[in-house]
Amino acid sequence: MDPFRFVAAADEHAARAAASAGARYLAGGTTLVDLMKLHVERPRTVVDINALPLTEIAETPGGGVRVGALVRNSDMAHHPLIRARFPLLSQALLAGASPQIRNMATTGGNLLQRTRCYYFRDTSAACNKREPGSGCSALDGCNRIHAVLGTSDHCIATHPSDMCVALAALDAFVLLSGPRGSRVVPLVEFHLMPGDHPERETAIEPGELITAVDVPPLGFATRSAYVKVRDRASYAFALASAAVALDLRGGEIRDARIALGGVATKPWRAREAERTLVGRPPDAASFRAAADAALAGARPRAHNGFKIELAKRTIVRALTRAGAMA
Amino acid sequence: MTAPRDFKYVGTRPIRHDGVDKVTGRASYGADAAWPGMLHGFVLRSPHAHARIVSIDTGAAEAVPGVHAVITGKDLPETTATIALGEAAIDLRDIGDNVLAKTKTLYHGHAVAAVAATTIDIAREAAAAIEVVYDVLEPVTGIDRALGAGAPILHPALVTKGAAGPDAGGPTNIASRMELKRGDVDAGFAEADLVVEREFRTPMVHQGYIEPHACIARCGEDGRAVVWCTTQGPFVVRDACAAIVGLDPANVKVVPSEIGGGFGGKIVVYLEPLALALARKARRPVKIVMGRDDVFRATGPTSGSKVRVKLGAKRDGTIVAASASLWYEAGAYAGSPVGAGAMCMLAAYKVPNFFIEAYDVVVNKPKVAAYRAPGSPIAAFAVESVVDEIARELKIDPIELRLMNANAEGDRAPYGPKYGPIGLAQILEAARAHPHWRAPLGANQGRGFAVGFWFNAGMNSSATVTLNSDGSAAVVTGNPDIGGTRAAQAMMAAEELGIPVERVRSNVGDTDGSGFTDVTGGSRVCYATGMAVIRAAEDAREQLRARAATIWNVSKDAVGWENGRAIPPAGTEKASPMTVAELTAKMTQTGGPIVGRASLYAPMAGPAFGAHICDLEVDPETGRSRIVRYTAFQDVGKAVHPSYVEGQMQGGVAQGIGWALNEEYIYSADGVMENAGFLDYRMPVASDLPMIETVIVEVANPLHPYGVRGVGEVPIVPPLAAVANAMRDATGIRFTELPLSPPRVLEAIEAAAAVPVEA
Repeated sequence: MDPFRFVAAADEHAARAAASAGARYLAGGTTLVDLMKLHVERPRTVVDINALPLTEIAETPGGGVRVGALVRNSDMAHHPLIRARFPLLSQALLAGASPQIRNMATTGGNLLQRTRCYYFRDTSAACNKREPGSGCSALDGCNRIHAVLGTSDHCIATHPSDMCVALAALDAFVLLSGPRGSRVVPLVEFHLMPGDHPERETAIEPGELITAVDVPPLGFATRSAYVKVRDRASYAFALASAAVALDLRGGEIRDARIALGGVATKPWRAREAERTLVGRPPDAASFRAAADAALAGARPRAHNGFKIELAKRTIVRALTRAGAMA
Repeated sequence: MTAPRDFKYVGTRPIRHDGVDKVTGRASYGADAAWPGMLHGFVLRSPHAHARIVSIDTGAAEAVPGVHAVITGKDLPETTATIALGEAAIDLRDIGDNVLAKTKTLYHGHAVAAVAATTIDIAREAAAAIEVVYDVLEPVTGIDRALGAGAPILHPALVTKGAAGPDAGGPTNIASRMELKRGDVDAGFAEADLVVEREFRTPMVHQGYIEPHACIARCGEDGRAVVWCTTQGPFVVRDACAAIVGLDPANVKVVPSEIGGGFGGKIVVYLEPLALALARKARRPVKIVMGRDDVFRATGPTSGSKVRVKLGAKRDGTIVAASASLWYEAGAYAGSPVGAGAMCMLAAYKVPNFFIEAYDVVVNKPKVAAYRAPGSPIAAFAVESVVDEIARELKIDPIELRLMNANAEGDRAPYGPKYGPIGLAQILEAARAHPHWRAPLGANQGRGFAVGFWFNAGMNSSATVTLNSDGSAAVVTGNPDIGGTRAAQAMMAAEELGIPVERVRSNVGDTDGSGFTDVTGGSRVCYATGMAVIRAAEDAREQLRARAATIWNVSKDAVGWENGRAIPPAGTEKASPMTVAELTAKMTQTGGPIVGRASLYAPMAGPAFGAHICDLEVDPETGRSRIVRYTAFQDVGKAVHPSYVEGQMQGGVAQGIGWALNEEYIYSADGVMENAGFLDYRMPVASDLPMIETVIVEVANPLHPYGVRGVGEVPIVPPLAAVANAMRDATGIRFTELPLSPPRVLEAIEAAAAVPVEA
């Protein structure tokens, strides 16, 4: 770890004031501290925001839920409102990391999780995300864990979050507070595709602080599932994951939500796949058609081609599980 | 001791002696020491897997404020000594070159320089200022490349040792070749009704001990040095450091810290000579702690391998012939455990005709170190998979087939000596009788069976048992305690002295405070050092009898000993039995302190077998598998502390399952390890494993007074094959390459499903 200045901020104003260029906010620290140890993150200042009053989970009008940025992953996962209304979100959170990490990791931090690409984490390797313009070692390297959707010629790193996949399916919003006031960004627009600038990962502006996440009401989210496929039972990132919800009425799908993790450069909303389901019966053929649509634009590299079929099966399994719910 | 003995403490489960310190965080591990005036060391490592060092300029680094010393290979003398070490001799020239490259870097992560500075950040910054000019060479990334035409050569002077190979003579990457043979192998195969031949591959895997390597060293103006470090062998560290750094071993004291796992990987030195050389140059203590990435990249994993096995059997299941070729990666320097693999692979079976050839192959990867039964799991994976195929082909129950061919007492082991009493048939019968063997299987589930063997080691051990005036005792040996040996040693001393086990404190001495003792390895500590403790306690007990004789004014021979009490001869006036505490209370008046001591060399140990049943369920859509039930049977001779014995069995199984299912070193074409962390180097976590059931079988080892056999290594031998055989049962597919990770399994399932039907 490189030396840094440590500031414990008492309130939001103090936090933003301390957050000059080269500073990082510290919440749970499960990503930041890890990357600091690897010298990937080398902040000059670390601003501890854990004293900020952003730890509430509250109901919003119409049946939505607002989750404070400092709510721990484990607290959100086990909260009665989340479990009752958005089971896929609770399942996604519990599929991530390990109990110890979930007890520390926060909602805001999870939104800003950095990729687990080997080359991003190895400072001796070329990585456009870590060092813009240095090249991408993953393109022709060990890219078994890399993305097949949303990639560019400069980066194929996956977004690692489970929580964000469920939030993408739920059309959640990110609440930001900054020097020019507050603003709201839809989660699906919060994370950026790598394009020519993989170092730019989110829509967050300098000096802005995530204060909360709004999950809007979605009645049929009670019929939902998160399925994560990984190399071992826990403490492993997704090779493929799917967050789905189904609006089933009269033996027909009226509406659907599908988002993917582990296969894309950002939490991946599969709208085309959702559209193919509308008006169809909840059967294997419908689910398979949706899965094919979701991966239609996939572009494999040398070692990650297996993810395309794996992701399709993951979608089918998640939809089957949601469809079978009482 | 032939009659079964009635034990008071041996076989019970007292609270572990190391428990409270560990769960309260008081135990001091390698990185926990801090000495006055201490500097921090940082090691600069090669970014290239294979390169010639053209020049190293340390000028800029030395000029960084706060830097006290910088060393390169030039600061260490050339050495040619070796240290004998039961399982493998240590060539100190290679080790010296491995800890700090002299002329070539031979793997990604090979140390090329080290810096000591007032803070770790300054040391790191200074290391970055060291200018190393490399002439980058093509790396040898695996066995096939190492043996292929026009392969780059790691060591131009390397000559193949042992029986001459086909390409002996010219430059080679084959460090040695050995043969084992018996009978007429061609005639044997001619006699066979069924011949099965397969080729197997396994990747390099790491022991994965939780505690990284760490040490602190100081060296005075008088040449006297002290090293505190996490190690399995303080005496090895002493001798290796002295030779590599150029000090008199008599001047080097090594103090072993508490150890957070080793599994063989903490026998050789990595950081200790560097800390010592820096400390000598800086005249200040120097501490170095390895990061996890360096543990993976630059310490010793076990070999990647290629093994070809051919077995011939009669229709009734009798195995009549075997041939095998083994190629193990040694890493950058000679010394893979391929010889042990060759010697273990047929240990379970009566095979009248066999021919085995074994090659030690150098490649541009880290120099391998011992890993729990070094060499045997890889060989067992191959042989036990083929035995499983034979059982299937001949439609014979796999346990039945093994019982039919099992070696027994008096049979000659494939590696030479005749077996004494061994428990192979007993564990096979225990497995056959166990409910697990007949339990029904669910959908997509399969059951696998495999056996495994390890020699176990004896070697040198010393112990003292010091009696305190209150009748308590302190045991000191020279073996760092990895597997609960302090508890077992306390129990043995308590057993001999007849005092409560809680009254015995068990300690690990340093190299000046304990008699010479070989490494904690080879499953030897409870056996050989335990035997030294028993003898030392007997020595103390004999001294107690002599003191009682003095008090009673009778001859020592007339004093009896029962249940921890000296018994006066019948008719002695006013004398009644005296306890240990009553006798030690009078030590000063009867001749002074009592210290029992013993040292011994055990040339042999009791070899041991394990048999494992594994149930596995595979998800045919994702290729991911889950171990749903696992039972391990093992002949342990005599379980001193059964909880530790079960823990060893479960630990070996857990590591073996990781090796079978998920663990592997992933290298780029340039020889760079890509998964140097616990997230991407996937060891099993608790949620990956079922409760591992254990069945202890006790066939007494006549070489030990209690019948103890080594326990720790055998249980990692069968799992690779047991898991692969379960996978074969579940999927119908014989996997010959590890790990059985989800993508590999899925690909094989899909390929099997896609086989076109002939028109």
